[in-house]
Amino acid sequence: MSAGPKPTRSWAALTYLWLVVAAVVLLFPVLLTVVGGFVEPSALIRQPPGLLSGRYTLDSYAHALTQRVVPLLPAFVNSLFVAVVIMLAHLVTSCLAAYALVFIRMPLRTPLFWLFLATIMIPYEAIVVPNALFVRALGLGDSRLALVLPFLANGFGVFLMRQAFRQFPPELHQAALLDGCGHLRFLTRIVLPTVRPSLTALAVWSFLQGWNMYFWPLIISSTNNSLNTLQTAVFALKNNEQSAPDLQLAGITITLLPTLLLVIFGQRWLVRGFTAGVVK
Amino acid sequence: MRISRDGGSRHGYRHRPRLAVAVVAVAALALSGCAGAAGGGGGAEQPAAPAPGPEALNTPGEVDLTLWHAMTGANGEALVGLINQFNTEHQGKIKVNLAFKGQYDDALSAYKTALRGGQLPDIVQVYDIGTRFMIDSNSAVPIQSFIDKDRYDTSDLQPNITGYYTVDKKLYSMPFNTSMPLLYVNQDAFRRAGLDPNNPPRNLAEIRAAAEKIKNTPGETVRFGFGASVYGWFLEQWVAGAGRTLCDADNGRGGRPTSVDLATDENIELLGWWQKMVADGLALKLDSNTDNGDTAFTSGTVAIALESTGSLGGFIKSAGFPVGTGFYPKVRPADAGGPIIGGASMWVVGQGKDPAHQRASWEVVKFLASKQSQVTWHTGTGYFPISKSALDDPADRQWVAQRPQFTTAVDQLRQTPLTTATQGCSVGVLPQIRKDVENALQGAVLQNVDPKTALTDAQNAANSQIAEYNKSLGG
Repeated sequence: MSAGPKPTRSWAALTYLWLVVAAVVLLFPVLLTVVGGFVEPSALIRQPPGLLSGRYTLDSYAHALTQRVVPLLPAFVNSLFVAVVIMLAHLVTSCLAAYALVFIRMPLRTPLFWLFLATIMIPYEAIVVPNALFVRALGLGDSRLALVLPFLANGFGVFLMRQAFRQFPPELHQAALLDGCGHLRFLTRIVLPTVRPSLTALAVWSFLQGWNMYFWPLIISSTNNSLNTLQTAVFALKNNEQSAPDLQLAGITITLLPTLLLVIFGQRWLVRGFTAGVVK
Repeated sequence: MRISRDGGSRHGYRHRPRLAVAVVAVAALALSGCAGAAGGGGGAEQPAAPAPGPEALNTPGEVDLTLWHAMTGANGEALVGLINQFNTEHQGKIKVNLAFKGQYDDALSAYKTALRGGQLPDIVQVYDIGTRFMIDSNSAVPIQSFIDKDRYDTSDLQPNITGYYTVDKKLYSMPFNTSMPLLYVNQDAFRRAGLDPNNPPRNLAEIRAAAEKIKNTPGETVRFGFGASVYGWFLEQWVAGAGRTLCDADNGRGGRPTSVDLATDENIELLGWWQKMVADGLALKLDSNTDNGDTAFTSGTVAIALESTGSLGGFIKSAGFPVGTGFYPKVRPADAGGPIIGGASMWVVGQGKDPAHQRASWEVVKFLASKQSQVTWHTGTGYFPISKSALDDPADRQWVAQRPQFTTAVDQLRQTPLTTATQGCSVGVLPQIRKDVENALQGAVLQNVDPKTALTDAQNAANSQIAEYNKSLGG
């Protein structure tokens, strides 16, 4: 009864108030992270933290960029490599596998899909060691390829794309085949443009998976720091027996940058993809 | 022979595959997998083989070494500096590549993985509580073999520090970064409460008395007299302070331990005291993350804290008040023990390494332990120098003079009797036992569980972990 179409002015005010409160709560950690990197450590540990002291310095960022334990810039490049390669590989392998599972009639199609699903159920920790042994046995122990090799295909990606492809009308598939359209052409020209939201979601998810990788690079590299990723470099900023919050926050802000960019741009694509789907 | 062997170690063999699966999920069980790998590789012959002498380095070309470490921040920078210096001094002969392996736990996990079929480093930095695992893995050359071979003079090494890494009368690894626990006080709060800031409390009763005075000081902004992280390491310190051994078999110094003794009178008294301190508003509730404990102290929330000597530099830098230090407190005034040193040590890896690499690794370890390196290390990081003479070096003296609080650590180390209690427990599953202890501490201090129940539960959990570990070694 009260859910009338015209909200009163006080209702709107309340809604905005609530949104502002929620935004502050959600954004405060991000603000603390970004601003914290510019503040002196003594201001940071005060209760409440002196974020608005007016005295800001670039020291923490400079220190984070120049530390020698795990040099930050090569680690940044490694992380970017890992994230981008894994993202592209997921897009390719997931789309191809999902296409076969949806559009190609074959026996045992569904059990095959369960097999893909089963791989999601195995915790990553349980396969780290066998994976490491396998990659080393291939003689790839210290190469960049080793950083990404076990992660090029993913059951979740196949699942996501399969669900998206199933929305596609089978009649269109038959019509396209009748017109002489091949599988690859049909996939790239007709199917993929209609599932852009799912593609974007998968891309963002895969990028973050690669970007946040920490344990695998530590396990797989043996001789030097050349394979370390950004997460390791940021960890190296922490002091063993004392906290250095300013430095860590500066490092975290640097790792946040690509993620933030991705979310900002990815969001645009997500919205555009959604509206494109709606219009069709 | 085959039959008897299978029969004799049936348990070990039966359980190995099952454990090997669990390895990855629980670090505890990784031990069994590794021991299996090392045992299978005929590790038994390694400790017996004599260490290579200096002639092993008479090979053409450069020996490339990999050193895995877990040093971060300023400590990592100091290590990079020292290794660069070593590489310059040994140009054309030895080159050390540093590889950062994350925290101590990650570094040890990486090592365990490599043991099962990967490339092992030549030198690995392992934390104090990984010592027994490293011995049981049979993958390292005990430092003692090099010492015996070279007749290397160990009289300059602090005996209380090498004591920790000595098992069965053999020094297994070279101590590197060493720290000890201390009691830290906010001297301003002490002064305002009419307490002597240069005479910090020495036992539970005195801490309580001081905390009460601080609480009753009008206008005092420090809200709690006492606040320490409920970190497992601290309980081990209280146990050693009471002169007790944590494990049987002389704290694992005379054999592999089979049980721990946690539900002791002192520990029950300690947890009960802590509980009451919290209930009376005299102590701040803190979790097991020492970062939070550090912040509670430096932000002026608590006046008395427990922390490692490694935190001194950070405290002085970021606290807005003069920082005082005292000996790590005892449970009872009459307790005659002392704290255990902690930190990490350098291991020379032998498995799969030729004599030239082993010898070169020893050269690196010797370099890091030398007086000059230890002066650089101590003044650059705040870790305790393992070399006695380092403390007499002018540069070192100057550093200590600027931080008189550090003298407390020096005195504390010198005054601690070297007994099996203060050597600390040498057991393969100490990382897990520490977690059990933390559960007990959290239960008692944060959730008001009866101290005796909490400690007995921890003790039972720890004992079954030890039994599992020993079984996996086929013993």
